Amino acid sequence: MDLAARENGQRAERWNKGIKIGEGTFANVYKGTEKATGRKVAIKKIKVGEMKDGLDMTALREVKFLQELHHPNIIALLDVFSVKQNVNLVLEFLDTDLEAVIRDKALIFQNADIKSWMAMSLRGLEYIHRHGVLHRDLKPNNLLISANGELKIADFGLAREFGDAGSKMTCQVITRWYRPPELLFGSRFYSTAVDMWSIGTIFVELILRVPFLAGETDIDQLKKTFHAMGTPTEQEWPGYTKLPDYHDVGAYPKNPWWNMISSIGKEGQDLARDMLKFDPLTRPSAKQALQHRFFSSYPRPTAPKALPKPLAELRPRELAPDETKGKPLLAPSGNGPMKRKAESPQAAGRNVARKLVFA
Amino acid sequence: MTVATASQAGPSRQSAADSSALTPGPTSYHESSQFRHWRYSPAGLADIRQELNQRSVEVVTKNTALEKEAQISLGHTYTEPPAPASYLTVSDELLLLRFYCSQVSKICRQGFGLPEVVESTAISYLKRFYLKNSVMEWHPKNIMPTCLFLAAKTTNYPVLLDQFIPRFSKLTPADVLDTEFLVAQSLGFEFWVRGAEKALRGWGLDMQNQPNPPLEGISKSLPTALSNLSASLLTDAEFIYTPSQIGLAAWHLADPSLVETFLDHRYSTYVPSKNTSTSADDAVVNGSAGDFDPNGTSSNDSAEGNSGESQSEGEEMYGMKQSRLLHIVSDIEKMIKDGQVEVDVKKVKEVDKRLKQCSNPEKIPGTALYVKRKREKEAAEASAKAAKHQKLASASASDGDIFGSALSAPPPLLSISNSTSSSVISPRLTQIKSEQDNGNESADGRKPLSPRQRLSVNGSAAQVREGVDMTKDV
Repeated sequence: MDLAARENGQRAERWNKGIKIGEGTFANVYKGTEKATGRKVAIKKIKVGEMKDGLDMTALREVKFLQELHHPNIIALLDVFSVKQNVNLVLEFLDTDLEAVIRDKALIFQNADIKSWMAMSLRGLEYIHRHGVLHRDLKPNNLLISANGELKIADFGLAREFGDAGSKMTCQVITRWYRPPELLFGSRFYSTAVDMWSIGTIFVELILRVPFLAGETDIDQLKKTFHAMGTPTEQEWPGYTKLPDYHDVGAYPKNPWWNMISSIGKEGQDLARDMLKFDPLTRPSAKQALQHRFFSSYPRPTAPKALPKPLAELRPRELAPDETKGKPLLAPSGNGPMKRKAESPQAAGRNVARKLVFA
Repeated sequence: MTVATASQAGPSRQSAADSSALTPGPTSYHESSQFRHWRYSPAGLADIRQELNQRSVEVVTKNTALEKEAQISLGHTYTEPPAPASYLTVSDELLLLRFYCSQVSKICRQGFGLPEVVESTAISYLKRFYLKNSVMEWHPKNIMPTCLFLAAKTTNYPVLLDQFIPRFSKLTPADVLDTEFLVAQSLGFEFWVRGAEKALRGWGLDMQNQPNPPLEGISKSLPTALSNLSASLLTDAEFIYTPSQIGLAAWHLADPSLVETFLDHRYSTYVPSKNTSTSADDAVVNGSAGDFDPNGTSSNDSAEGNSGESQSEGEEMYGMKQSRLLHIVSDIEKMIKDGQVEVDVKKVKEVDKRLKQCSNPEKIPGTALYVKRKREKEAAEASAKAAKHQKLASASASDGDIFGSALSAPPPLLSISNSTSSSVISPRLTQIKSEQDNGNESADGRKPLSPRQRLSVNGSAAQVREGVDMTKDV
């Protein structure tokens, strides 16, 4: 037997595959255990047998980055092995995600809880950015929660390295509601600030308990953003009208939108406004955000174990619209037909934010 | 090869997998898979290759005999091949590997116009592959295109297979698809290769950061340094030295005095820093993770010592004495100079000719042994499948007995979607699902769950959603 095959066999031997707990077209998820310790794991089996272009790029990206990133606030890839033509990712087992927590109306959030989730997200993100990686799909859905309440960033299927000056990147990333305006305007050169915008919208969503900017289309996303915050001025965001896909979506007046999150306190409002600045260059880095007064002022963040969690761990929940809807948007040709693009919710669904916010 | 040898390469898988035990190193390079699994001593590399070579000779000898039997059993008249003049030696294998590495550069630069990161990653994949496999088992002419195809995907410059194949003569899609998985597996699914180009450019910036920077000298020697770097790709340098050391050597070879003046300046002005910047603020920020670089992100990160030196880090510039650094640099330069010597194509052809006589017949489509192995494999898979069905069938049969005879009104099978209890993993549901799997076998088991089932399954855990997420990728 080949050496690689033998090593693979030894790795596969370490894990017990249990029952199937999820099924998709290109991956199944199984519950599993580590034979030596009995530790619970999730085994994500990616089917690659019949791909026309070989191993799927999303899977390759996920494996590539998870192999390199090791942090308490990032989902741990414990092992990779293969059985026949399938790649199996052994991931740590996580109970729920922040989306489920936000939607569970039985739970009440304290400001200290929100602070704790934000700190954990930013710590994970700071690590990701420090290692030269952009996540490009941050949303409550991808922030998983462990049994002891720790938040872990997951799904690196859209991630990529950054820092190569002059290499163009696609703007079709990040789920629409969490996508920053520079990407909506077609910017092909961007940086860590795109992830910071997503974290900013997640912060507001944690306070409001509904998605902050729930656009129905890409244009509508811009309209909703500007409706909420006012159309950016040239002074506020120099040169943005020169971006490739810039179009005038109307002039909306400035709006003290942060009043609707006044419950978080002055420091929190201030941090949210920083992270949701139009000009990407003026948004704080993850590290700067962590050093914001919000995190050092009263109240102290809740310990992960004490954070609110859905009572019934395995309780069925409704799927987010982007999980049930539609096929991936693929580039028509040329540029990157094998790359996955960000999936965004369509018109229907949880479109309640506007009314609640501006009634 | 024994397992022990394989794991000498770096820390064992086990410890690396236990990420909670992994304390973040002083730089991200120290946490990379390259640092943890793909660094060797020169002697270690030689041992690995020697052992691989020996084992392959044994396998090929055995399989050549088996091929003879197989052909005879198929009723073919077996013509004895000319006895292998001699099996390939390690240096023969390396010569061939070196030749195909240089081909990657040619193809990238002339064929596809792919950026350098694809080229250097593909070459690294190829070299890593032959630390797990022998040339006598897998001919590099087949593995090289696969490495390139895979590297293009992992570095974000994917090429469609339909556009990729025509660039090579006598290459079929199956050649790539059949070996892609093998390559990925041999790489241990570790795809991120830290090339030295960023380090090289980083040194270029660092050298501008001194009094009276020699700007002209820097820009004049940059092209030479880059070409030195390309030559280093054809050597073992990346298995032994860090990217920053290789980058520095590439500069030093281009202009020794430029680098030495710079290092003199750096070493003479270096003030050891103390790790005492934990303000109350940082404590909050760091929390229990404690993974912040206490010194802030310093440009000095670019030059780390070998693992031995990393202990003394922070006490010395670049973690080692200047004399030691220069010694390392000169060792790398020797390798680069070797890499610059043109491959003797005549010799390559001679080796390739010999290789034809001592390749593993098991791995060559069309040989009797290949056909035989394929049939055996298919039979084994078929029987495994049959056994699985049998098991499932008997499981569902006995399942009914576990709870005694059926009640007059059996409980609704999928009632859990309305309940708040965590009964998703009940054996009952498992059974239903496996039955469904059985039913779908002909349709490849890909039939999606009904919405109702999906809802119930989906609520079970966050990972479930991940699985469903994948439906987005078509």
